This record gives sequence, C-alpha cells and structure tokens, in this order.
Amino acid sequence: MKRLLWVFVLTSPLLAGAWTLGGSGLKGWQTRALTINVNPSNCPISASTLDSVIDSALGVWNGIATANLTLTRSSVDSTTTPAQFIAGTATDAPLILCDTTFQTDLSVDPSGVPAATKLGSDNPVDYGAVILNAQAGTAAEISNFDTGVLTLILAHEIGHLLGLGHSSLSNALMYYSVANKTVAVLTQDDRDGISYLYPRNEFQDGAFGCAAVHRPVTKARVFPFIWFTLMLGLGYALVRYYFRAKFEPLL
Amino acid sequence: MAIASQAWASGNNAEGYFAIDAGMFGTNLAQRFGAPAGYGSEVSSLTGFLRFRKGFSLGKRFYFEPSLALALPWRTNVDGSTMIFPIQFDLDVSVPIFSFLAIRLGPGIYSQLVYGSGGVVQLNNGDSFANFAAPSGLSMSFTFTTEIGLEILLFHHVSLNFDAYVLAIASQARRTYQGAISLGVKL
Repeated sequence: MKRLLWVFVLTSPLLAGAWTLGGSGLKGWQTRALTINVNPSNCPISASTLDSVIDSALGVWNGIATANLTLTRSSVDSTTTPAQFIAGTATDAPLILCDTTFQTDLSVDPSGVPAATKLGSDNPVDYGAVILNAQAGTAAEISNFDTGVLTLILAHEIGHLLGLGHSSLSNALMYYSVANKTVAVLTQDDRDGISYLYPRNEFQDGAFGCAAVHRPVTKARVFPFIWFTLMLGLGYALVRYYFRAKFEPLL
Repeated sequence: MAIASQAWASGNNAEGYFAIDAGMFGTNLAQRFGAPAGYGSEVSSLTGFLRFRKGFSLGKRFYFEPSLALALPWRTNVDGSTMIFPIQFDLDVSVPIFSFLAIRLGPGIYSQLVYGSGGVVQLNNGDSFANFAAPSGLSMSFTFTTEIGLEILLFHHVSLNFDAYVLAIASQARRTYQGAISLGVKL
C-alpha cells in the first residue's frame, strides 16, 4: 500500500499554472526575431520615456532560456496611425501606437484599460499592435502611471502581441489585472507559455544561448569562456589542495 | 572515513557503476532568490527529481557518466489539459578527487516537452469574462546546459549529490540556473 501511495505521489501531475493562447491553435509569429516599430506621436509621455519603457518590457521577454525569441525596438519611428492599423493597412507590424480616440477605436472602457492588443486573423501571426491609451482626461491614460507600472502594462500587452492569452494565476504577468503589482516579473507559467509558442531548439538555433541571429566572435565574447575555464581549473586545484592537506592524513 | 573510502572504492569499481538519484529539482533559481516578496514560489518550479546515471571507467581517475533525469511530477495547468515534462540529459565526466568526494562536469541538454489537449478556458478579461484557447499539440524545446556537480559519499553506496545546471551560459540575458539536490544509490 505504501509503495502504491509513493507511485501515486511521484506520478501525479503538479498543478502549476494556467496560461492560455490568444486564439485557438495559435502558433505565434513566424519569425523568432521580431522588430517592434513604434509611433511615438500623440503619446502623452516623452518619446525617450516611451522608448525606455518599451526596451524594459521587451527585455522581460528576451530573458527566457527555453524560448527562441529575440525582441528589439526599431530605431526608426513608425508613421502608422491607429486608424491605419485598425483598417488593416499598416505595413510595418508589429507596432506600438498611442491612440487619442482609444474608446471609439477599440470599444473599451478608457477609465480602466491602459492598453489593448489587436492581432490579425492569420496563423502564424503576421499583423498586430499594442495600442496605448492616450485619450486625454481618462483615468487609465498612460501618463497616469509611473514607469515601473507602465513597463508592467507594456510587458503584459507584448505577451498578448506574442500570442499569449490570460492566465488564471494572480502573480503571472499574463494575469488580467496589474493591480497590486509594481514590477514586471515572469512566473514559470509565463515562461512555459512563451516556450510553448517559441520553443528553443539549440540543435538548430545556436548552442549555449547564442542567439538565432548569429553574432561575430569577438574578444569580449571569448574572454568570459577563457576566464571561466581558468577559474574552474584554479578552483579545482585549490579544493583538491585544501582537502588533501586537511583530510588525507586522517585516512 | 575508512568506511567511506572502502565504499567509494567498491562503488566506483573498474567496471563502472549504475546509480539512481532521487531528490528535488528547482528551475530559474536566480529569479527565485531575486524575486519580490510573494513571487518566489511562482517564478520557478520546485519538483521532485529522479535521475539514472551510468558511470564508465576511463582509466584510473575519470568516469564518463551519462545520465537522464526527470522532474517529477510533471507540471500541468489547473484543468489538466496541458502537461509539461522537463527532462535533463547529461554527458558528464566524474572525477573522484578524494575517497568521499567527486566532481562531475559536462555538457547536457534540458528539454521541455509541452503537450496540450486544446479546449477553451473562460477567464477574467478586465470588464468581462472571455474565452481563451488552451494549447493544443506538442511543443519541444532543447537547450544546451553546462553542469557542475558534487557527489559526497555518505555511506556504503549512498551519496549526496548537488548539481547545478546553467542554461544559455553564453547569453547574459538568457542565462538561467537550475539545480538539484538528491540522494543517490549506486547499484
């Protein structure tokens, strides 16, 4: 009976999380190196603050070892407007845009929704944008949030842009509400979701964390390996010397 | 100490050895310790760990030690429609540096198999509830790892193992630490 109990305990699944997808059978974007185009016009915060917040939010998703995903912000400003994107005529998606007619364009409550994400209907995804609430006088207009919370909001919306739906875990970045949160933290649930959509295969994508976009071998990249090997050798020699001196006479 | 010495010698004999280790396995350890209060248990997963190792003698001092480890129980979502199986495969070299202590080091592969049976989940969407899709089909990731481990012989054929796995060692942004503590028996 005891053995049976142990077998049950060891083989029962651990209830962990509940990430979902933005659509049935969604496969995410075709490319694993996404460049996000940003139109900072009409934004109620400065372009430099917006860029900084976007970079931080992209960085949150760039740090997953089991996912093959590299997100960067385009250095050239987009001129696509929310109206053009909603009409389906944008040519530089994925996008981040500020919308001064947020309520009308997206049919959401601008007093409670600081941003929304829209994806095209194709699968894999090839059209999508994060639209920020820039509607003056509304409670959830983005200038009402500090940069930490704004990073959190953007990181959540970028999760949608990548193809994730909401999670039922209240601490997950993809939980529907950011209330009571101050920093963007990925939970295992978020990592599992993005690793499902963009699984890393280092047999194809480059080994030991080298990105799919291969970078040239430079001194700056080789030095850490040499240093690590030297330190490992030195550490081994020291440990061996110490234990030999301390314990061998006792044996 | 003398007993340990004899046990190590008999466990790591010329023909090699087969060992089974059982313990705990943790993912995203740096994030776990650096997370804000209340997040620790959710930024990483802590599960059971079951590993099978086979040591092949490489001369007097080294052992080639391939191993296969499973994180048990596997992870799943609340309704059980998605299952995640983490698997760690290593090709280590084990070096007994003393009668009671060995270091193992080598490359490996961390694989995460995600299987979803699909369906619809109703979740809060802010001002209303909305249907979200549960994942369907199989997705597999393969990430090379670098492992460093310590094996401390406790009793005859029984050892305590500490293993650290570094994923994406060459990428500062992606580098992730996983670890296991286990008790092993050499058969």
